[in-house]
Amino acid sequence: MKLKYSLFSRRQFLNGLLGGWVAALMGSLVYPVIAFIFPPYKEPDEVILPFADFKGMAPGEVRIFAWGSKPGLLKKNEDGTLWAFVGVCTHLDCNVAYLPDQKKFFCACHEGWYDEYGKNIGGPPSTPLRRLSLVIEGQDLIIKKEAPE
Amino acid sequence: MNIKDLGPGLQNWLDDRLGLSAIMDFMKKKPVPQTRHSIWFYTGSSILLFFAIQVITGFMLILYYNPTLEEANASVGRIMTEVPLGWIIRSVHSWSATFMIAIVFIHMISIWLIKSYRKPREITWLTGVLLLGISLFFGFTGYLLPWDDLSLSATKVGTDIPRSIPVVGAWVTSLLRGGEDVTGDTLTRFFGIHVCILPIFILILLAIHIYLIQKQGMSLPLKEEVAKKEVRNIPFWPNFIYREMIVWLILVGILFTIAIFLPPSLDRQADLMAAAPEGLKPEWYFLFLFQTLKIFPAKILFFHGDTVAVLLILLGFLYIFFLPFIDNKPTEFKGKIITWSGYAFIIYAIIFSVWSLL
Amino acid sequence: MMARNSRMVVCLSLAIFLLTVLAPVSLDARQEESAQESQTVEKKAAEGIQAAEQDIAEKSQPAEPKAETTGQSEENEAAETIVPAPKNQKEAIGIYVFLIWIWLSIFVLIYVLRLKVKESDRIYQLKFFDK
Repeated sequence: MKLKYSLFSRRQFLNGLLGGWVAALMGSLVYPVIAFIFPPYKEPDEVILPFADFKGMAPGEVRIFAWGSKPGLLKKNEDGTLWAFVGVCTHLDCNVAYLPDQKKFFCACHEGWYDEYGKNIGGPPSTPLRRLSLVIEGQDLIIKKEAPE
Repeated sequence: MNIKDLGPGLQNWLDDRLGLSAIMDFMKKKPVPQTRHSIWFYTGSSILLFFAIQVITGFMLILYYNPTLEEANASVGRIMTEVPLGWIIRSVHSWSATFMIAIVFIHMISIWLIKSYRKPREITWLTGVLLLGISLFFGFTGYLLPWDDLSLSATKVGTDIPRSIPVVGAWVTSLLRGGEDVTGDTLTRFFGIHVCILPIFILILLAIHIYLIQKQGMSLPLKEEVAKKEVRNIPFWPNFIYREMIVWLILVGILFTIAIFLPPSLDRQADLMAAAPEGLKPEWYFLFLFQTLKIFPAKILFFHGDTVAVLLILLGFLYIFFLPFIDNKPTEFKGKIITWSGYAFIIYAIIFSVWSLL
Repeated sequence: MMARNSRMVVCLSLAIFLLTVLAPVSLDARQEESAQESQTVEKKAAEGIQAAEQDIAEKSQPAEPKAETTGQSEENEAAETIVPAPKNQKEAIGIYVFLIWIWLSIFVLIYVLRLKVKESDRIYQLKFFDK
């Protein structure tokens, strides 16, 4: 199909080519800048701790370990099992504390409450505390990201 | 409302408030003379291009750099290994510094040789020489920031040189170092100078320099001015800008290619107690000064060789700084000698730089 | 004729510029190589002397540990130098693609800009805007 009149003049084509290609060039430079400025946050895949540090825990006791740059909470339940949580409130990322006399986790920032199994029971948090998987291998306690069920 | 009206509409909105059309009219009318020497006009905007690249890559690097004695080297290491494409950004910053200082030297030499500093452009020259000094100081302070053995030793030598100046020498050295020796305090000081103090000064001086160039217009080489012939001009916008863009594109291409294939590496953290490493040398733009200091013997008559050398270098700098006032009769024989001194400076700088590497 | 002259000047100054920038780099590499060569020559000489003096047990013993420790510290130094490189093959290929895109863009844009230069010069000569 041959057009009767051109869609644009040669000058417009050239100007469009120049402007458009310069814009594309600038756009291609934006990606490396963005990639540089927003580094990927790396959570550790697993953390290995010496089990000896956590042997003498009483039931209902909570100890802190390092999960990357966040606190991890290791809790010995009443039935003797060990659970690991990421000790960060699911509302707005404040660090939570364990109140042993109330058997609850408490976030002081906006008064969020979790029960002794990490389930959210009061305040703004809408999801339970994140759990981590625990394995004891010989002398080591290996804590990994919880596998999705 | 047509989408075609969006562009002009926005332009008019801004123009009503900022008066930008006055600037555009000025740029369209500003004549750029086309003579044999007009090629050197491209050096000015090329410097601005590399300076802009330095600012942008500098903004990015400062997000991760840690200016403390314990973490400086490690943070640069993290930039190179953990941050995505960090090694390229650091490489571009390092090479762009080299390119910028090289073109600053070419710019100054070209103006020296065609004598653009004649009346009324003396202040433009003075601000320009100060800009050269600031650029070199940028390079000197930036070189220490990775805090490895080589940069520590180079800084020790570099900050020791002013000590040879009589009367104020020791004071200048301790001002630069933040104490008697090069320590973590020196790093803090150099970092502050590199990212805060010098940028403010360079922006002020650049503003004055560029304002004066616009106000006084482009200079004519001596021959054309004397002959008073009609010189062919082209308007700055868009004719000269299109030509400048071609130069910028080529320079950016060369910069990226060199930065990707010859990136700088990072040595281990500096050890304040270790002996100076072998093969110690400053950045390339200081090599000729380094060699000049080396050739002077320890004692000349009653004076320390160092003192004589440093005073000679200072004298040379003052000669360059006051060149417009020294060259008050550019058309006569004195003017020719000053032109020859420009060529002599080029030859001296190249020979001494190469000599210091052998 | 002016175009040819300016082209020559551009090529010449670009060459000088690249020389001033790249000369220190290349000379430096050569210096390192010759330094390494002299080091290996010295090492061989030292070993030769050690072999000759092996009859005298007392002299050879302190010499050997020194050679070993310097070798180790050199290795440590080499390991502590971070050499920048792309993290994986995907990143390396991405960088090459980026470089090719940059140079392709440069050639296309210079072609278009040269046309724009000729156009704007012609318009100016015709004094299109001066009425």
